[in-house]
Amino acid sequence: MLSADHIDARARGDKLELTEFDAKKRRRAEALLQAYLEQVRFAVGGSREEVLRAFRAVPTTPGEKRFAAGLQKLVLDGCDFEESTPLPPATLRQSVFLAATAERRRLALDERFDRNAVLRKVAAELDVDATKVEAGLYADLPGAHRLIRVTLPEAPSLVSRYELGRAQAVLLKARDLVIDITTRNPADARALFRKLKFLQLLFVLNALPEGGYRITVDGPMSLFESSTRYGLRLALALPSIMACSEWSVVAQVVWGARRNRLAFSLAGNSRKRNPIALDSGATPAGESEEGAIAQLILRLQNLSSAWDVRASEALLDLPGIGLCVPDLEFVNRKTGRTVYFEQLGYWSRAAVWKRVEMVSAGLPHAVVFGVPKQLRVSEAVLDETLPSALYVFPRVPSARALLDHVEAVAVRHQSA
Amino acid sequence: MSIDDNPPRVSLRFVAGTLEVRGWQDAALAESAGCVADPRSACDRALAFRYPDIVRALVRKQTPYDDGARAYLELPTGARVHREPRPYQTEALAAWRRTGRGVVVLPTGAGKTELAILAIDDKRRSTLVVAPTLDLVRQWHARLTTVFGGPIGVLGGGEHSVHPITVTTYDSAHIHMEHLGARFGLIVFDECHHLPGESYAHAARMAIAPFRLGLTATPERSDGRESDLATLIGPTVYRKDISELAGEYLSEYQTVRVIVDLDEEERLAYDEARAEYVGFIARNNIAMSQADGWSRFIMMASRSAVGQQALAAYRRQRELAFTAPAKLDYLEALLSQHRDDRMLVFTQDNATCHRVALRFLIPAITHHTRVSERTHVLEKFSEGQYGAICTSKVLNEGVDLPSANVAVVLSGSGSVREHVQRLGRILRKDEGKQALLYELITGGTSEAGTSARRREHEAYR
Repeated sequence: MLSADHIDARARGDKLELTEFDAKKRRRAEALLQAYLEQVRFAVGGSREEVLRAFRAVPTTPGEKRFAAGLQKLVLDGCDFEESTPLPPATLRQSVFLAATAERRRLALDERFDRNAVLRKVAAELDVDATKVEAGLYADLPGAHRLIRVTLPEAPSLVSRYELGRAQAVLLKARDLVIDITTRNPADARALFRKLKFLQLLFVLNALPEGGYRITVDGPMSLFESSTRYGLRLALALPSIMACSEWSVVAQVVWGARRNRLAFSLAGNSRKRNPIALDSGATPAGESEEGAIAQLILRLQNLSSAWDVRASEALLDLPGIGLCVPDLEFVNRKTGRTVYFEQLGYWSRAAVWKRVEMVSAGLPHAVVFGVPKQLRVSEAVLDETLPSALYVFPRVPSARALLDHVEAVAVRHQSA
Repeated sequence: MSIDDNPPRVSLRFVAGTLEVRGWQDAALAESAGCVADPRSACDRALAFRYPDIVRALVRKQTPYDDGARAYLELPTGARVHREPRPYQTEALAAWRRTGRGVVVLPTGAGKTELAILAIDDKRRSTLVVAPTLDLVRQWHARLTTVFGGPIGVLGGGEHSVHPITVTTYDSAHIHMEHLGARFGLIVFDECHHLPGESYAHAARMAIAPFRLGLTATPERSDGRESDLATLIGPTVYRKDISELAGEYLSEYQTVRVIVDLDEEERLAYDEARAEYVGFIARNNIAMSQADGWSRFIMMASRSAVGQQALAAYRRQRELAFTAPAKLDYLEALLSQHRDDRMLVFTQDNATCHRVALRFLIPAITHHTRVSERTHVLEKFSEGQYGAICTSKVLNEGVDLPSANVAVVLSGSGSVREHVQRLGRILRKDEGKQALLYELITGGTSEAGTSARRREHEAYR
């Protein structure tokens, strides 16, 4: 990952802005990356120090120092270096230094220590040339490691990686993140919350009046002290944020030697997928899930019922207990009552128990949780007095059975 | 029975370096014990190091609680090897025992490790020892294994084994404390002047350990944050300086300052580079004595070709001063003169350290040196098979080298602490030992001022 030393950003008032990355800069990045790629591909077998020297030989202006360092870092991240020497350096050092100590002690005070004689003596013992002994003494230092493999995409892909890397480098210095998202695809939102949970980040979720949600993300310690301790995790969450349909991020960052507190903003509209997020390894979450849900909506719409059904954009949060991201939203045409449906995957029984816990702890929404039969959970797990229900389905959810569960839950929710 | 007759029990849980507290009805008391309402998790939350305050408050009010936080043990057995403590170690232990929290300041070689062993044996709780370098971790591990028997855990340097007594580095403690902060009742912070740094302090805050011992020879920091030690560990409970122990408990020592000159050509090159660097900082109104002087210089230097030349000039003049050929010639003479002694050669940077190692064919220890090789070098040095070791900074602190009797400071920073620590490396008491520290300075260069700054300590008067 790039760090603050690899990017150009400047403070404007209380805001931090990355320097513009326009078409001209992009072309320049591509040209430099192309040059660095050629250098490393040519340098396979050479030392790290030689690679770095070759990088320095690519002409850049003084103002491009950080820019070039960032691009070089991306290229070096795709290079595998290995210690490669016929004489194990640690063993060689041991032989040479022991011989040198003995030689020094053997000499009279007025005799001069002859290092070359020591090297020759050890070389003779090892039956190699003295120059090889000297060259091999510190062949295990990082600068002497040999480049053995280059695994890198072409320059245009690396430019996209660099763009993501610039934003992540800023977020490394972030104390918290405020994310605004709309969730046209529940699978993306689920992937984001899974990521936040995996990274042990905490969040507060609020609905925005104009639609969508605001998620304030930080870590457990943030309650007590403002620190950049969670910066790496916040940076790692960025690709998942960028995979959401519409998103914006505002981070409070601690920047520069003076540790100025600045706001850093970033936004994206990825109804057409964000190329940066995709190229950086953020896969669009659950495209197959998306298709299955679309088919379920079609089947439901073919049935005559009192319910309108649509893909849900809601996030149902019970602070301290958990969050669920429903796939569908049923709205009763007569009463206006809403029932949600969340389809759970076949891979996690724990997810079912989490939902049961949420309902038992007072989730204030009517929800039908679709549970694949393979999970071997009984619908009776959720008491009939509770305002939500489990719907256990064999392979794919039946539209009719689901509607029956929605009806039942609507009644329960009314009386609860 | 009504709900009021049977109130919900308070529960404590350790989560990522904090304590989640649920069911505490007395909000004012919870707040005074460090708890803050956390809407993200619908609970009260406190920094882990407030654990003793929370438990004390609950016990005082006889509030029943479920302690799901504490994961440390009482050690089933104590030390199996006992050394007769020195009188000042007994005094220090007594001072620390009053609260079980605090910092003890003792000079290098005065037996701080032994004091920590006495403290571990006294409290008999799962203990984490935090040390600044892998060399020290290795040394602590060996000593604790001898005294308490195995297994002793190690975190860091590629190892991750956690046992009721575990040793780690400050770096690893910073990384892992959010997972391990509930598993130790006593934490020993070796060379604890490192702790008040921006990141390392988190390690102390993320641990519930009610007992804490800080050990250092030099608590003072250039940023003045030594006052944070009182919160993170406890107050200074005991202090003795070098001059109070030299002779009886530490070796007698002498310091020798050697001024060498640049030759005519070197002098010309030095003056030229110096003038270019000084001219640049003057033209750009950079005051290097200010806290942000260096970062401003780097920033300005990166903006123009002239700036980059000034940075190169800075490096050139520094290298000329630090590794003046006359210094290296003098070092050659010292290596010959002290060939039957055990000499430590200190440099300011790794590149110089490796240059010295290559030129004089003496082993070097830097942060690049693997643990197995460090162990080998230190063992051979102790046995006398190596007469000298060159190092940049990793041997500045703590590493136990009782046989070392000569130190040569070839180059270094202006830090008083670094200079005192380097002296400390040769002061461990040994029969008839007279320690000798040489400081080599290139005359007529900025190094003279650096040397004057680092000698501002009682040990050099």
